[in-house]
Order: sequence, then structure tokens, then C-alpha cells
Amino acid sequence: MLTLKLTSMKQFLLLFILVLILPMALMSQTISIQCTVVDEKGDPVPGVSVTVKGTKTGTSADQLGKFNIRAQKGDVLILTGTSIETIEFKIEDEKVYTIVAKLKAHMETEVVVTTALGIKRQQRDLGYSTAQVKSDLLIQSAPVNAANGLQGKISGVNIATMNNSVFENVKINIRGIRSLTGSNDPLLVIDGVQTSLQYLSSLNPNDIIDITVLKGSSGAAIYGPDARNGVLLVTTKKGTKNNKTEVSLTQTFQYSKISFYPEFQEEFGSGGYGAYTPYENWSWGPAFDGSLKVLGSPLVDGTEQRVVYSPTDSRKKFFNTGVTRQTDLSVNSKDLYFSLQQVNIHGIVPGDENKRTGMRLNSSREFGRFKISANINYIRGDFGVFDNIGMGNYNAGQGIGLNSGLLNLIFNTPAQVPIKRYKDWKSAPFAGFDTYFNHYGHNPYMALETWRVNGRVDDLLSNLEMTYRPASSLAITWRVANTFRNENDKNISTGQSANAEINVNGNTSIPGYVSESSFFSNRLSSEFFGSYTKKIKDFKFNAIAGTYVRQSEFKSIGISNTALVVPGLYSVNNRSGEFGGGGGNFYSRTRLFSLFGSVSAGYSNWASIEFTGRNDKVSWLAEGNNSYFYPGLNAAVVLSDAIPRLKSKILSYAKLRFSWNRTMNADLVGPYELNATYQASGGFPYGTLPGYTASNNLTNPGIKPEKIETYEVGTELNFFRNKLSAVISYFKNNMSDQIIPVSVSRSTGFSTTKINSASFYSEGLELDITYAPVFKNSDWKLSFSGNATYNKSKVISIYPGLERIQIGGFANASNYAFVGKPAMTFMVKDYVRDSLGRIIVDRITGLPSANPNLTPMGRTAPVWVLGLTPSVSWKDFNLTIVAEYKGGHLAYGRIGNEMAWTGVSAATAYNHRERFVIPNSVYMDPASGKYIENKNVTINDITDFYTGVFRQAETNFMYSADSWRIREVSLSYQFPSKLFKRMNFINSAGITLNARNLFLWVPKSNQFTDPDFNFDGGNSNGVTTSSINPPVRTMGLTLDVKF
Amino acid sequence: MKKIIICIAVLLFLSGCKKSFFDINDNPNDPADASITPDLVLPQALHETGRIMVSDYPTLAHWMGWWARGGDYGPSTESETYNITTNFGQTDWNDWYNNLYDYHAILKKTEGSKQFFYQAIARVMKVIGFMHLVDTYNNIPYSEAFNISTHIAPKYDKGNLIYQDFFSELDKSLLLLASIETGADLKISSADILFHGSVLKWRKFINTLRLKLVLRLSQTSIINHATELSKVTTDGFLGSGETATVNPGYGALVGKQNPFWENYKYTPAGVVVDNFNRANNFTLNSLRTNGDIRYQYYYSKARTPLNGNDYYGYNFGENLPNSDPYKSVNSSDIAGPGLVTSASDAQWLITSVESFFLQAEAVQRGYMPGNAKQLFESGILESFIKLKVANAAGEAAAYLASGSAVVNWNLASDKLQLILVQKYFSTVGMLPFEAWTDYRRTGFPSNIPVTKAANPGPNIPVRFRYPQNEYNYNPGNVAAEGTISPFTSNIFWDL
Repeated sequence: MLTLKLTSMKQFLLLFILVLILPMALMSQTISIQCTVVDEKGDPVPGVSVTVKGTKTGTSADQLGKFNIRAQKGDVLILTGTSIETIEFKIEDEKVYTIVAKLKAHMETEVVVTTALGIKRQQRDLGYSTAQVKSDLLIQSAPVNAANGLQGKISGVNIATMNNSVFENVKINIRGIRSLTGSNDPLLVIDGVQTSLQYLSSLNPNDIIDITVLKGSSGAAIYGPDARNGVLLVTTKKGTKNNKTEVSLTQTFQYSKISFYPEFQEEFGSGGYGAYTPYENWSWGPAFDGSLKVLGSPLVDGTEQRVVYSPTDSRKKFFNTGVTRQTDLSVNSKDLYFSLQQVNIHGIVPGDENKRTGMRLNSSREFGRFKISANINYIRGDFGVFDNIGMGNYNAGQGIGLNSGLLNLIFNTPAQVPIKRYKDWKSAPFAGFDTYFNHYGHNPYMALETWRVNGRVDDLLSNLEMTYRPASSLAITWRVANTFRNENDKNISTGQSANAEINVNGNTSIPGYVSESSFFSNRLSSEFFGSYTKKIKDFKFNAIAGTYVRQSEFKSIGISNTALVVPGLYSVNNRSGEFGGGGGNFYSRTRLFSLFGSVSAGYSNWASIEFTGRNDKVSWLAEGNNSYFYPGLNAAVVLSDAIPRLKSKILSYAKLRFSWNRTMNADLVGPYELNATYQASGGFPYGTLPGYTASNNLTNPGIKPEKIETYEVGTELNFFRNKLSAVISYFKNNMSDQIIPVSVSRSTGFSTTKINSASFYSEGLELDITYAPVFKNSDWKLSFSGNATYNKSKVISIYPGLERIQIGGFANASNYAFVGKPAMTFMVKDYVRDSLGRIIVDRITGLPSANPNLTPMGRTAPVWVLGLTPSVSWKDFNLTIVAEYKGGHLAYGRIGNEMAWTGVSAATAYNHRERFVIPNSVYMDPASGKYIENKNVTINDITDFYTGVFRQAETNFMYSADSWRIREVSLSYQFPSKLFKRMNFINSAGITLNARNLFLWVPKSNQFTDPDFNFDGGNSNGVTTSSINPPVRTMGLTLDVKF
Repeated sequence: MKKIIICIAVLLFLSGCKKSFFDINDNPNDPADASITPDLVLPQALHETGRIMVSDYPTLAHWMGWWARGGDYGPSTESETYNITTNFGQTDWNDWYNNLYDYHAILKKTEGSKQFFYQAIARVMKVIGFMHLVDTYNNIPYSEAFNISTHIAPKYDKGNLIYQDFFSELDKSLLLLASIETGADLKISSADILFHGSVLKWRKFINTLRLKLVLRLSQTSIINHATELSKVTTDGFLGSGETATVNPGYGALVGKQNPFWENYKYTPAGVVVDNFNRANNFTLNSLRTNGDIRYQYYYSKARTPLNGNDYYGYNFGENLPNSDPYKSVNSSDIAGPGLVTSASDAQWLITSVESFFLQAEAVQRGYMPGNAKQLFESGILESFIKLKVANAAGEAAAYLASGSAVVNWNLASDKLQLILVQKYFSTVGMLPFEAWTDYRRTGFPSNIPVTKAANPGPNIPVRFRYPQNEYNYNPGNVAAEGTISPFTSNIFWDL
């Protein structure tokens, strides 16, 4: 099925396989015996030395734990290795054996890690840093998105949740950023197949055995340009090597409640300039006095709504308790792994829901020298959420600018308003479209039901891998993979019609519409590589050579209808007039072809060096710029083995490593960007008259790939018989020829262009410590792990004549790359200040003014990230906590601006809204022309100040993004196995209480939200808006039973 | 064995590197520059110019006393206090440069060709756009504009030098029009949605534009006004019924409506678009006091009149108590039946009414020969005709005979003031930009009320501040312009 799809592109590869297999099959008429050494989990054990007992015949297992040896029935093989207990294995009649080896205890130093191409290597040979999170730690708090399970657990990996929505979107950054404006996403490799990072959120975390992180860009030598930002190597369960079948059933319930709400003032209610207005969206009215006041306009029959003029907490109760249910079933049996998962998330926003159903079938089988494995993963997501953008578009069209996100509807609700009363907005009194109190804002419950987006995402990931081993020293692998995503979204506005007979709030009808969009993406890749190993005395050589071909396609189609006729029918056919709604399509296709190779040499198991090289050729750059080569090297020395006397009771292992490499990529240039294009616009075509306008974006056709050069040095040290281990790394990335889409003066005729120009560097220190066990006796076990990351960066140049570019945010407060400053830096509009930094105010009005020149404020990404994971076990109980600190950076809360407009923020109740002198302000003395300290000129109007210049000076909404949080708490209990002895169908059972984001501590200046949140998935950080829901804490329960 | 592998590797390498394998980068979605001809660009560009002129300056109609904020809305602090920031009017800047680039593209595409008609049109239209920009911002990117490969951050040129170049651009356009070769300008009659390839009308348009530019400079002596006007061709100016309009085929379809209608009247589904812009009491009451029935043509009747007030307006910047019963539905919208009658109306760029008043002013100033009074009165008549007033001639005559101070030529002590005041009342709502420019240049009408907003700036702004985009993306050049005050940093011609 799979290969049929491939034939058009890769026929020759199929042909090749046939050509290859036939002679091999003939050659396999040999008397040699084939063995695979695996550990108790079924993972291959590489490098084991093998001799036939009593002879000189010997060999060693390769990286996949395989070896061939000539022997006769009755011979005994002796297997020895640094990581395993010695085995004596007797040869019977069979020609193929799987030998299960027992791993030596405390052999952390012999850890085998999965590296690029899925090749297992001993950690001691690697010249670059890797880290691994295993299943149990990954899923201890039952995250829906595996990325959440990584948070706080590995140094150098910064994972930020962007919004508390039913989609649980995260942003992952490994060792800072390497592109100012392009992707900084690490590469996701699932079972050896390069995939887009977006699939991480679709994966069932329970299918994962482990996630290995290649932190540097060394993976790029083998994986190509996408690996420059690090690699997440996900290995899924493959089935067992023995005949035992295990069925596992897991059920999780989790509840989410708001943990941090923006700070509101509770002193003043509806109105403007201190006067009460019954139907205001503004909270600039008089102070609360507990009297009964009319709210909203009276109904047409004269009925008035009266509420007590006192603050309520109704606005906070607007949000629901979120509920997440996860049900997992998996079957692990010989050569086969099968799993089913259903996740159902009800968000804190009333009506928001997301469901995910996934199925995975992994299978692999060996036939002598030939191994074939196939993985198929199908995931379906169904969601229905409030269409915040739909509402924003409507409001923008109405000229109501500040009603963008859902939270803003809350900000447009004064504190005395009992918002929960209007939940049943179709029938509750004073809640309807025509009767709601607010003349300038909508009932949020009505909005939630009016603008909706429902969608379905279907993902199918499949791959097929074949390995043939003509000799024990040579392995040839062909891996094809096909990834499909099909997303279908339907955005609707149900529309609301104002009924003139009962309307009292001046609402005009909201038009209904339907917009259907469909997105299709497909990535087809073929990877073919050979690996050759040779041992000469104490030297060990390995060479890898291969090719990688990839084609990516994307297609989108959208169509919409804004003239619905029959209510409740959301179809483009249900319309009045000619089809005039929006519509469009887009198609793109790109190809990449790469040749890659590496040569490594090791000496005496304590020194190793590896050279890598790769050449990419891509379809989307101009001929001449589209083929590029990049090299790398890495080396490691295990000092404790090279100089054995270094080993002591204290120091048990010491390794030094170094790596250098260069990578190049042109991701920032999309297909078809090199030629200026024109687009129909302005309603054209009119009948037969076409009309086009020049596109506002143009990429320089001579654009070249951007370059990254990385150095890394590190050491791995183990102490106290490997109980305490420390991994320390220093890295420096130099980025040059950065492709930057620069916003340019509109007088160029364009708004953006792309050029090779900017350069910057980023460097950092990482430390991972594991101390396990700190203490142990028969009942208790205490262990600890922790990590720390320090990162700094500096922009060296942008473009001649240009010292900054905007990265993301709002016109008056945004992330910028600014020469001489860290990437990124907040540039924000501030008050006009004198040379001493004092605010200059008007001598008469007492009002400051905003400075149109943006002021640099500070970095937007953390300087320090710390993760602490203490764990304690007592008998069958285990408690593990993940605490995380991020700090040294700033964030910007757009909601501060929005809340100041409506007068709901705590800041606007400063000085009880009495006129005051702006602290640390000056005014110009007309006589001397000098600035003198302002001691008595008060702001002439509080409302005007906060709704005016206070909002322009966005520095008022900047805050320290420092935070400490308890990321995860997991308390698990494993039922004693003797309980199940009598029942022959249950093997084990456990129960886990888990919590995510249980506590969040932020400085006082943060009156807004979780500083990890961000409004988009780009390279900006710390910009939050009212479309981001307040942060929550999640608590839950997981039950798991194994049969 | 090894040979096979090597063979395969070579095979892979070769097939992978076949040029055709990578040759898939032609855009399948949008037409590329090379395949676009001037006739595909011109219609959109002309439409866009018309759209910008009536869509981007509603605030000016407010400042100028034509329009005011409807009763449904809270104050728009920035425009109503005059305390405009660098975020104010950003779209005007962006839209013009975007539009002007299309004309620039036409010039580039026709360079070295015989498509002189297209070249002439592009040059004239560039003058119109840059004129708006200079009149709003004074010094602006001009000579270094539209050349991103060499000038990614274009420098600012002096407004007065740019104005001088406008005249030479108009001269070049006339020369180009004189050398048109039949058949060279493919599809010009359909692509030119302004005059459908009529050279005569383009000449009149150029003459009227030249007249407008000369009068812009009435306070300066950087040109000799009479000499400049002597270059007006014998074709004369836009005359009665010759309002320059674009109409690609507007109609009641989404995105295809007449821009004025689209902005201020109804959606194609008949839903009211604009509840914000309403009649301003100054103009509404002045017209009524002057016995000028044109208020019924500039403004619409209230959808739901209160107390028999069919026509109802507001004072600019006034913050009404919430108890005020007059909401937007009870007041007059500003897309009156004289201005726009349907979604398929053509969109004006320069009106015939304006043309007459420009001529009257130029004659009165002695820049050109003629009869100022006659031109003045023709302007009034033309306004009645343009507004489709029933029995326009009779009504105009009655108005002229009413003896009102704003029509009586003989009694007026200051004829220039009379011309400009009457021009103001004869073009209500049409092109607020022209009213603002005349006001800045001449100070007339001198009694336009200032805002009633609390804490306003000292006067109606005389210019915009440079847009924040420029401070962000062209910071060096905009900073060189120094601190800009919207109240005192006058445009060079505003002395």
C-alpha cells in the first residue's frame, strides 16, 4: 500500500531492493550463525566481544548488537562486555539466535544512546551532548502532549506552554535560538523518520519508550538542515522479543482550575469620568457604595434591572473547571505493539472541546540477515472552540477595536455586573442580544456561541524500514516514510439579528457566515544508507554513507459565504446573491536531496573522533545558491580509562568531549518566493476586467542559505561509584548570513523583503546532576536530579543602515532584534523623559507624553532556567516533584493596556482615582527652559490619563517574567504484586495522583498572566493578549492495570 | 557486492541531481512579474486611488466640521482632542505608497516601449498620490522611493522640491500624450477606467491638476503661478458634468461596491455599515441658516427620526450625557442621496464642482485671465447638478438670489474668502482632504468650530506625524526630520 505511493518518485529504489536481495539470498547459504544480543527490554546491546569457548575464533557485535560467527552445534559462545554480565551460550540446531544479556548494575557510564539514524552508540564515544527522558518520568503527570512531559527535566531545553487552551500548544527551544526570524523548532524524529514538530502534540505519550534529545546541531550532519535546532528522537514501543503478551489499560481524569487571574480593581463600577452610566462598558464610574442601581437600559415595557453597586467575583467564575479524560489500551506482544488512545479535553472556556483518538501498530520481524519493520500511526482530532478571530474581525469591522479576545469581553464588564446570570443568554432576563446591559460590548456567553470554529485533523504517519546485513561489518538500511495531514476547519458566525421592537442597547445585527477551509500536507521521504565497521587491533572504525530525498507538498483551499439565508444552515450554497464570498487556494511543493557521510575512529574504548559531512540541494533557491556542503567533527576522551589512576573512591568516571560543526539552511525562504508576483485585489475582477496589484513581499532572488557554526565542549563526571553524576557543557553558536524578512519603509514599495544579512551569537552553560540514590534502605529511596541552563545571546549586525528588526508583538511593544542587545529584546514605547530618566509632564495639565522612539527594555527569553526533580519512594509509594525556575527576562501584558481602557485593572485605581502628581516627574520651567522637579502639578483628568497616554506608554505593562513553579507532582502507589497472585489475569496495578502547574510564583509587578505564555508561535516571547486564557493548575488521577 | 552498492550510490546521486528534479519553483498560485502587462495593473491602481481618496480621510471631515461622531459611540480620544500620535493615519501613508508602487511598476514595465499612454497616466497619477503625501507630511521619501535593491531605507526629500518635480512630471505627461501611437497602448480603452482612453479628457484632467497644484502654492513664491498656469493646454479644465470618476464595474457584491457606499452606507446584504459618521451641526445648521437645501443631499434622513427631526447632527468632540436620546439611528448619516445613490456609482477623484472653484480662485488671484464671479456661480450651479438636485438650475438660481452672505459676490468684501467658503459648502463630504488643505492654506472658512473634547490640543492639526512604521523601519531618516508637532510643523506651502 505504502510503496505504491512511492513508485512515481522512487521506482529505482524498489528496483534496487530487488537487485540487492536476490544475490544476498543466494549468498546466505552459509554455515555461519547469526546472533543478536539484546538486553532484558529487548534493546540491542552493541559492542559485545564474542569468542567460541576453547578456540581463538572471535568477533564482536555491531551497533545493533548483531554478529555472525562460524561455529558448530554444541559450541559455547562466551560473550563479554563492559556493560553486561558475562554469558556462556550454547549453540543448538538453530542458525539464528537472540541472546538476552543482563546489564550490569550501576553502569551509567556504559549508557547506550540512540543517535542520528537510529544508530545506537555508547555514550562514552560521543563528542556531543545528549539527554534522555524515559517513559516513566515522561508520563508521570499524564500529560496529553508529550512535550509537557519534558518540561523542566533536561538542561538547555526550554519548553513554554503558549496558551491555556484545549490544544495545549507549546514552544520548544533547545539551547536558545539559531534563527532570528526563522524556525527554532527542534527536529522531531519518530522511529527514525523526520517529521514536523507539530506531530509531537498528536502522539500518544504512552506509546513512547523514551525521548532522546540531541541538544547541539551535531545531528544536522546526518539529519540535515532541520536538525540544526537540536533533535528530539522519539522511540515508540516495538513489541517484545519473547512470547509474553502484556495488555495495559490506563485511565486518567484531570481537572483544571484557574490559578492566576489578572488583577482587577474593585473600587469603581460602570461609567465614565466618575459619573455612573447604567450601560457602560467602562469602569470609570463612581466608587462602589452598596446601593441598588439600575443596570442597562430599561426594557421596552419599562422593566428595569437593578443590581447592588458592589463588586462581585462573577467575572472570575465565568470560566469553567476544565476536565480531561484519557483512556489508553496497549498490547505488547512478540514483534508487535498495538495501542489505542482516546483523550477528551473540555477547556475552561465554556463550550471549548478537543478530542483525540489515536491508533498505533508497530511491527518488526527478522528473517536471518534481513530485518523489516513497519509502523503505522493514525490520529484523529476533533475540536470545537470559540472563534476568537471571528469575533475580532467583526469588532474590527464595526470600529470597536479593543474587543479582541474573550478576556476582553470580561474587561468590558464592570465589577458589579453579575455576569453568571446571563449564561442562559437566550432566555434569561436582561441577557439577550437586544436586552443585555452593555451598549458597547456583547454578552460573553452569546459571543461564545455565535463565533465558533469546528475542525477535524487526520494524521497518518507510516514508515517502512528494511535492513540487510551482508556481513557482520556491513549494514544497509532503506527507510521510507510518508506523513499525511488533512485538516478541515469550519468557521461560522451564527449571526444575531437585532429585533427593533425589543432592542434597548442599540446592538445592530451580527451577520452570519460560514467559512470552510481544508489543508493538506504530505511529506514523502526516502533514506538509504550503509554502515561499515572495521576493527584493527585496538582501533575501531566506522563509516556511514547515505542519501536522503524528500518531497513536501502543501495544499489549502478555502471558501466562504457571508450572505446566509436560511438560519442555522452553514453552507456556501445557502446564500443570497452571486457567490461573492472569499475563496482561494494555495499549493506548494519542495524537494530536498542530500548526500551525507561520517567516518569515525575509536581507540581502546577511551578515545574516539568522528568526522561528518553533508551536502544539501534544494528546489526553492536559485540555481547556483541551492547546493551547499557543511562539515563537522566531534571527539571524546574517557580520561578515567585513559589514565586509570584517576579513578578513585570519589571519582568513578570522567570524560571530556568537544564538537564543532557547521550547518546551513534556507528554511526561511519558502517556495516561489524568488519572483515578484501580483495579486488580484480591490474586488477585481469586475466582470471581464481584471486588476492586479504588486505583492508587498519580495525575496532577494540571490538569497543564500544561512550559516550556523557551533562549538561545544563538555565533561561528564561520575562520583561515588556512579551514584552522583554531573554533565557540564558549554556551547557557542555563531549565526551568520541570517535570512531576515525585514519590514521596510513602505516607501520602498514593499512592506517586507528577505535578505542575507544579520548575524548574532548565542552561548550557554548547562549542568545536569543526578544523585541516585541519595539515600536508600529497604523501605526508603531518595533521589534527586536537577538541571540548570544559562544562556546569553547578542545581535552583532542586522543590515547596513538598519540596526533593528521587529520580530513579533504590537506596534508599540514588541520583540526586536537590536544590534548590541540580546536576541530578542523588548522595544517599547515609553514616556518622554529627561536626561535623568524623569518623566516630563506638561506644566499645566500634569500629563506626560509618549515617546514615538521605542525604548529598549530588556531580553525576552530567560537567562536562567532551572529544573529540580526530587523523588522519594517508600515501599510501594513514590513521590516525584518537578520544580522549574525561569528568570532574567521581561514580558509584556497587552491586557494591561486593554484593562486600562475600560478601567478595570488594579493599576487604574491608584490613589483611589484622586488626582496625583506623577512620581519622579519634571516639567519645563518656561523662564529658564530647564526641567524642574514636579511637586505639585497633578494630572488634570484621571480617566483621560489612563485611557490615553498611560496606554500609549506601554512600559506600564512590562513586567519581570521571573517565575518559580511546581511543574509536576506525582504521587504513585503500586499495588503489591501478591494481591494479584491469585488472580491469574492481572499482573500489576497502580494508582497515581498527579498535578501540573500546581503552584506559580511571580513577582508583584506581574499582574497579568503566566510569563511563559505567548501570543504566537514565532520567535517572539512574553507577549500576551486577551485571547490567551488565564493560567490553570491541573490535578488528576491515573489508574493503570496490566494484564 | 561492493560494486553493486557503488553503482547504486552513483545512480542515486545522478538521478537526484537531475536539473529537472529541482526545477519545480515556478509559482502555481500567483502570476509572476514577467507575465503581468500594464493593462492588468492600471484598473486596480486607478480604483485604489479613488478608494484611498474617499476612504482614508474621514477624520479630516470631522476636523473640518462636515461630519461628527454618532450618538452610539464614546469619544475617539486621539482625533477628537487633536492629540494625534504616530499611530494616527498610518494607513494613509501605507496605502498611498502601496498604490504609487503600482504606477511605478507600470512605468518600469513600459520603459523603452511605445506605450506612451500608459506612461503618461502613470506619471499623472503618481503626482496625485505624492501630492497627498507631501500635503500630509511635508518631507517624504520620493527620489529614493521604490528602489529597494539600492535604497532599503529611502531618504526624505524636501516637500518644496517634490512639488517642483510635479510640474515637470505633468509636462512630461503632456509630451507623452502628444506622441501616442495608435495600437501601441494595448487595451487602453478598457484598462483606463478613468477616461477610457480619451486623450482630451486626460489633458483636461492634467490641466485641472496643475491648477490645483498652483493654488496649493498660493502662499509661496517657489513658482511663478501665472507662468505655470500658462502651460495649461487649450483643452481647458474639467467642465460641467466632467467629474473625473473611476468605475471598474462597481455593484452590490461583496468587495465590489463603490468605495464611498461601501464605507458609509450599506453592505451588499443591505446592512447599515456606518453608525459612526454623522452630520456635523456646524455644516448642517449653516446650510439651513443660509437657506441652502443641499443639506438634504449631503446627509440622509434619520432612519428613525425623533421629535420630527428628520435631519439631526452632532457637535464635533462633544461628549453627550448618556441620557441623550439621539442615538445613531436618530441622526443623519453622511452618505446623502446627492453624494451616492447606489453601490454601482462611479467614484470621484476630482469633481467638476472643485474645478470651477479652483478656476474662480485662480482668476481672482490674478494667476490667469477670466471672470471670477461667473466661475464662482458656475461652481454653485455645478454643485446642485452634481448632487442631482431636482430642478437644479432653478434651485441654484434661487439660492444665488437668496442674498445669503455666502453667495453674494457683489457684497463680499473678501472675494477669496467667499470663493473658499462657498467651495467648502459646495463640496461637503466629497473630498475632506481638499477642505483641510484649503483651510490650512487660506484659513477659510474661519469659523469652523474646534473640538468640544476635554483637554484638546491648541488648534486643528496642520499636519500628521510621521507614521510609527517609519520610526520602526526607517528610523534614521525619519529621525533626521526632527520632532514633529502636528500643531506647528507646517507643510512648506502653509505659511
